[in-house]
Amino acid sequence: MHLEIGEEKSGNSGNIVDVKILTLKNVKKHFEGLRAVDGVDLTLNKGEILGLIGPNGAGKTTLLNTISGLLMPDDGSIMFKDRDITLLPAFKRAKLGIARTFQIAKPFSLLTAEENVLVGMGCKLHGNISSLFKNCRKKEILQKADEIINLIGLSDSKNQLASSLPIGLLRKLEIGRALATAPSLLLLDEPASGLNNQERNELAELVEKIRKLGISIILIEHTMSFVMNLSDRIVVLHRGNTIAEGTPQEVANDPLVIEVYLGTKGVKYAS
Amino acid sequence: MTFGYILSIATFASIYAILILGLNILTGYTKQVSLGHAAFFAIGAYTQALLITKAGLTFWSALPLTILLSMIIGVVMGLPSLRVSDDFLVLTTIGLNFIVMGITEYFDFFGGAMGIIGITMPTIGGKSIGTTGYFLITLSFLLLTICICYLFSKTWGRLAMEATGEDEDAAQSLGINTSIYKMYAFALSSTFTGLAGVLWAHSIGSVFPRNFSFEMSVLFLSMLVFGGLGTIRGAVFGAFVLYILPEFFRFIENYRMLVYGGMLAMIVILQPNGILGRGGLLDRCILRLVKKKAETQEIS
Ligand SMILES: Nc1ncnc2c1ncn2[C@@H]1O[C@H](COP(=O)(O)OP(=O)(O)OP(=O)(O)O)[C@@H](O)[C@H]1O
Ligand SMILES: [Mg+2]
Repeated sequence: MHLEIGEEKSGNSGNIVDVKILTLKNVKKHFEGLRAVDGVDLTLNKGEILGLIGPNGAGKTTLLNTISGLLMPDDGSIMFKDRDITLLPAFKRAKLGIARTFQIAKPFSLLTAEENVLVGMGCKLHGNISSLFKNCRKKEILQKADEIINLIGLSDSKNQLASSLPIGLLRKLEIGRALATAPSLLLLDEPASGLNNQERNELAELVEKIRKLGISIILIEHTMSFVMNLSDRIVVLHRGNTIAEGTPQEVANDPLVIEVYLGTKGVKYAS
Repeated sequence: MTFGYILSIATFASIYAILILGLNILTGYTKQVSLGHAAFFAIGAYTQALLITKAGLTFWSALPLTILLSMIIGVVMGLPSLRVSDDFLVLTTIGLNFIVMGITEYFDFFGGAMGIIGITMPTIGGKSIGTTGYFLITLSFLLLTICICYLFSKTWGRLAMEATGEDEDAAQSLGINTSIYKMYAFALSSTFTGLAGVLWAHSIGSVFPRNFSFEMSVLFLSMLVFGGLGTIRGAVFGAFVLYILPEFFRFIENYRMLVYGGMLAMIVILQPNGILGRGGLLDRCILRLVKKKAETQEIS
């Protein structure tokens, strides 16, 4: 892994490269007649932050699950860096560089914060019978873990069990754990939910830092100011379909989006 | 109370501690609850018994074979765990316990209800080692097991197992093939449990199907849950306390199932992390003391 913390790159969206890192074609996922995701096309450029918004039950999490591999799509294809991953199980996708967090935080509660990060660091090693008995607490490994722990701002609680951490720190820990896998694509499912204003601002800073590491991000979020300020591009999902796509400005002014989702909320971001 | 009596209690407590350390890898780390661990215990004990009495091997020559077989059978018996949900796994392991008991009881090859007798004590340099010597051997194996478990607790393997046990989706999303780790856990767990079976067979000198009943499996799980899931100290503590207590309070003997079953339920409800588990009773007491100290220092 190469984590160059503090390496500044210019501009908000200055390092978006016109290289497709992820391409979804006609992805469908139905649950016994319920069309949770119903033929979504989506592309993500390298270094881009894509905001994925839409009303409750729109299919955002389901779509994310098909990308991370926790759900297999019923139809369609998913390409990640020129590789067809449509049928690849989740753990293999993680090894290829797709990491994620969960809408309802899923920390390993009986492990310390540091150990949670270590689980992520072992991403490429897990499963090899040789690594089964390999020490994961060597100095250089712990140093790298420390870098990530510092990045997410958890140094003070790294030895605490995850079960004792407040939600604000848990959200950061989940991101740290995902970052530890050295991903090139990070999927964030409502990382700001349950956070207060200050925590949300810290999180926004963290997401900016992650972008500067060259990691592409898909961000699901209901907090409009958060997602609109961070995203380069927004996709709006409604009943399993994409109903709008564009810059935050464009989407916020879209009459259909305002009708089905933003309501009066959108007015604030329209100007 | 004679020296010999104390020695025998210490020997059995050590054997159970080895077994519970094995159970801890399965139930403490990957959270696969086994209510049939007496089956693995039986497999170790019976394999060793057969190798000694029928194949004429010695303690030392039979031991590696038994350990290897225990590991292989652990993998095979772990296969159903990949297909069933957590709740059904418990039932599966209970079933396993009854199957193994049934097989040993109904097939003459395994001695039937009469069991297998004449499992001699190990010898060193041609001389039998006696009960003191055997206690020392058992203790050495316990210390070895503790060392291995301690070293294992620092590996990627343990992290992956714990991650698998806590949340399979999260584990998968971090590159962990959870099925494989459930199997690894079965293999490691049955290896240590098999070792305990070996030591037990020699210390008693005979094996009978009823030694490996469902009751024993309940006792094993109670020991682990009482001490605290997922820690070495908890596993050893639970095994020692729950083995030794009934020895001193004989009246418990008649109500064993009631006491263990009741305790299992109480602990799960009141102290889910056990006495010495992470975030368990002891941890929280220490935390409280530290906090109190900090408070009094602030005041003064
Ligand atoms: N495993 C499942 N089985 C059956 N139905 C499901 C399953 N997962 C999701 N659904 C349904 O699919 C639809 C889309 O759910 P999804 O969680 O993707 O929505 P979402 O856009 O993430 O909503 P929210 O903003 O509330 O998180 C919902 O109607 C939901 O009830
Ligand atoms: Mg959702």
